[in-house]
Amino acid sequence: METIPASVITTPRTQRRVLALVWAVATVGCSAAWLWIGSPALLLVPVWLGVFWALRRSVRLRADLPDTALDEREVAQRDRVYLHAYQGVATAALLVLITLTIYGDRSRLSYEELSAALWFVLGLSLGLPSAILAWMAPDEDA
Amino acid sequence: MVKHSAPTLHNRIAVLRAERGQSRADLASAIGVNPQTIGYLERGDYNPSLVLAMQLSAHFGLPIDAIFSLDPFEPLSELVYKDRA
Repeated sequence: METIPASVITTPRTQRRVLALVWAVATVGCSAAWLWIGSPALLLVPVWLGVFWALRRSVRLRADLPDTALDEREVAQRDRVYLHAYQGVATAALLVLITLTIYGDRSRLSYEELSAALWFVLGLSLGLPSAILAWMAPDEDA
Repeated sequence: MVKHSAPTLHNRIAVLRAERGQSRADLASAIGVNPQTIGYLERGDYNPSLVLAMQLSAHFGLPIDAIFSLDPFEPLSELVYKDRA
């Protein structure tokens, strides 16, 4: 029996897409929790980390590996994913800024609002590359 | 401005690999890529760099243009039997 190399994505695409959606819901939920319950929202971070880790494992950490651990096609794929993720994070950050400008207290930004915004953008920038890869990568034979 | 669009690069990797009785994993290990990358190359979903093309050329012991072409390759059966018909 042939050994499958560690970098081969074996998780079925349907399962990866479900994980990407769960991660998206967890990211939005954890950020929104700051607005509803304040600091206790920190208790949700381990849940988010668990989903984030499962998502990364589903794509064999390929979105985060250095060039030396990937072949040339995988490097090109990772770079394309990062381009999309950068555009996604930049757009999300802009939307957050616009939302805070319109609906936030113009004289003073609350700690909860600031935390929600920062956690959202941070969570997005950490997980979006893996989520895009999980969503886009086809099912492949090893 | 010239837009970047990669032309279709046809190849005979699957045939050459089958002729030699090699699995994708064997070929991948010989040229140092992931087995999935061999699948992408064979399906024409990924165009290799010049370095990878030269590695494949050295592995099969054939010139690059015997493995890759911008025009579709004739089927092997036609090449073998067209003179006999």
